[in-house]
Amino acid sequence: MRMQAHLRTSGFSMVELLVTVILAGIVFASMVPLFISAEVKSSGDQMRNIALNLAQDRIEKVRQLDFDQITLANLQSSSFANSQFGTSWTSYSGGGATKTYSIAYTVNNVAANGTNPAYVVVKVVVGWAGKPTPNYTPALQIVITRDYAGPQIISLTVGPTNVNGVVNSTPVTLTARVGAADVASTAKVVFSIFTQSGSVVTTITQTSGSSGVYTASWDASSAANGIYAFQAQAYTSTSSAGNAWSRRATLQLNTAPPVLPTVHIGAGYHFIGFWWTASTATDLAYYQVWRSTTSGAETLYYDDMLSPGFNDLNVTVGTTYYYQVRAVDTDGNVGPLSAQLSAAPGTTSGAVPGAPGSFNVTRSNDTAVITWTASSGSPAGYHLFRDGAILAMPDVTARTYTDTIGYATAHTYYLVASSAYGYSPATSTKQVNAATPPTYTMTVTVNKSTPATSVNVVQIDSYLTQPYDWSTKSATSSSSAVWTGLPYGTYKVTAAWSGTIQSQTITFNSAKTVPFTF
Amino acid sequence: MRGLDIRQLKQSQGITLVELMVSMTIMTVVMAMLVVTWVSLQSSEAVTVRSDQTRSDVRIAMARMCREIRDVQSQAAGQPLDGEAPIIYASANEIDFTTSFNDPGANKAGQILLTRYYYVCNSANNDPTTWCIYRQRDTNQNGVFDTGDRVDQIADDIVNGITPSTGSPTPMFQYSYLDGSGTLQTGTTPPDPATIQTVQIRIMADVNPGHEPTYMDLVSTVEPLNMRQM
Repeated sequence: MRMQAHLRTSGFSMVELLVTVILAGIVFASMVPLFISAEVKSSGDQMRNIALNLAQDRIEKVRQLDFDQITLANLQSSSFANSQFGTSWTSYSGGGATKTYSIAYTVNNVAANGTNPAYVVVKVVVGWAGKPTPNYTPALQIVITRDYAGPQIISLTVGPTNVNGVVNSTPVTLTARVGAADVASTAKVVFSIFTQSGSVVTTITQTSGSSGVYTASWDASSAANGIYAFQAQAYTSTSSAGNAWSRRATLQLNTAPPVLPTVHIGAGYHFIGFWWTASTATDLAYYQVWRSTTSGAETLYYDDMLSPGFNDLNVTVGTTYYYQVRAVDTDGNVGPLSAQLSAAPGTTSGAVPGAPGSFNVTRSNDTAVITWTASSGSPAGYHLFRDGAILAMPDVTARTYTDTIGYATAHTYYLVASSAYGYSPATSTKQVNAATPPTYTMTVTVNKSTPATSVNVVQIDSYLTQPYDWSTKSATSSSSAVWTGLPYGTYKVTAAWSGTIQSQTITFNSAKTVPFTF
Repeated sequence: MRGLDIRQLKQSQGITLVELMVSMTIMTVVMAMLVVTWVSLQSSEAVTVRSDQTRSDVRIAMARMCREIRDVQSQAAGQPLDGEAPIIYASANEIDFTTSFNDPGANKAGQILLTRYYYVCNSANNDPTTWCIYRQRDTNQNGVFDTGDRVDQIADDIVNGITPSTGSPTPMFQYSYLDGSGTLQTGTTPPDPATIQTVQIRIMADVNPGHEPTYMDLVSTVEPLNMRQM
């Protein structure tokens, strides 16, 4: 240890300090390229990202083209398909500056052979000029196969519709358009209509179109309201099928509100009874009763009522009640409120009427005929119940009622009489059994001799779980189509002659001839 | 300890005032350089993080919109928009459609819900953090967008609304669609969304917010797969 040397030390000299500062400066300066390099790499990453998305953009745009439009010349054209393609694209890079990316395409067509359809391989490479050097320019490739041998449907519309898109009138017009490249090769377009559960409602073939537009007319007058699927598919003359284009629409033909004819009211001992002539709407769903203790201020009191009558027991003696009734159909159409009627519950008690006498129910073809004799005690009305629910309030003096029930289901009935003093006991229950429906012969005649008309008969009774197809037959003007042994019911008969479709819905309760004229 | 000479100690005179001042000045210069460099690094790191975050947000927004719009599907029977095309509304800065993509954490597995992406850019408001892309889901399932629905911000600093100028903004969505005669058209307002063939999405983001504008300009296109089956 040489202490003397240490003691001679007199701190850093100026030169040493300067050397240190210069060295530190060199070290800092050497780090600058690192920052620059990081920035350049970051910028390059961003450009590659933009280029990758641009390549994806072009690949997806190729997918919207018809197969025959996918050519190198088209893709390189800056004006093709509303300028969606071309060989360059300019991005904004901020501060008013732009950056141009170049796009190169490779299109390789492979023709169809015996087992494989034709396909095309499209490759898109995106690059840019200048730095950063495009060492890793994105390239994407797609293979597009000619999927269909037949003509392409490119749109299908269903109308007429209201503002909510609901088909609201008949006939329903279906309009299909085939692609411009397929107009010449299209021989026919087949329209199919399905229920929401997938059952075929009808099929319409249209062989004549105008500039690729084919239309079909569907008589929906006998179709139930609801959601339907409509499909169109085009064929060549050699029956090569193209794509099937489908769409759904809601059918709601009936917009007329159900109307109530007349409402009657009467007061009984601690109750108010009223009944009305049933709405004649065939699609009636239920009734609503509105009530108030103030005239003109009725509010909804009883909803979803199925019977055409109501006895209000929830009343206070001494209070006058005001009522209105209206009907609602299965499409939700609401009828007008009936005229306001008022009554106060009666306070006078007396003998209730006796049970109706000789109550009897018999089947007569597709109807049940109900008869009885008058009750004792001057009944003001009768209440007929079917299967536990009130069916009707039959006329007091006629004392007979005919109920159309078809053949498929058994029904039970009983009857109650009423007066201002209350209800009679119910009659005993009577039943009519299901019966085998009678069968008849249906003859379908047409007025065309050639080509033969195709006739299809479908039973559409609501008790069937699904329409029953009684087969398709041919008919000419000299040879009718005949079905024997068809059971009583409701039928839809459809005839197709030379691309034109007609249909009729008939109630089949005797031997019938159904004529079609084209 | 023979080497320790008391005379030598007496000759030692310490540091002169001039030496002290010079060394302090140099130290100050060196320290100043270090502090400036450190602050600069800190600032640079903050900008880089913000920039990376914006780049990442935009990439994710683009990927998510592409995926979701490609897989649009019509609502099922019984839902409010049953029977409608999968794309309900289409304009330059908004697209409304129905899809079964779920919300994170929401118990709506398999539900096909009305959804929309929309871009809001109030150019009068000079705050780019309010120039955003939003995604809204009809989570209360009533068929319309209202205050009961969930809204998520997907990305901010989106400058479509001011590029190339506020008077001539760049649309976020552009559509290829078939017109009434079946001819392919492109535009930002297709008359019938059911005829849309492809949707072009363009997102421009300022990845250097608050400093010299540096834009990331992404463009991509998707072909919705279920447009023909309604």
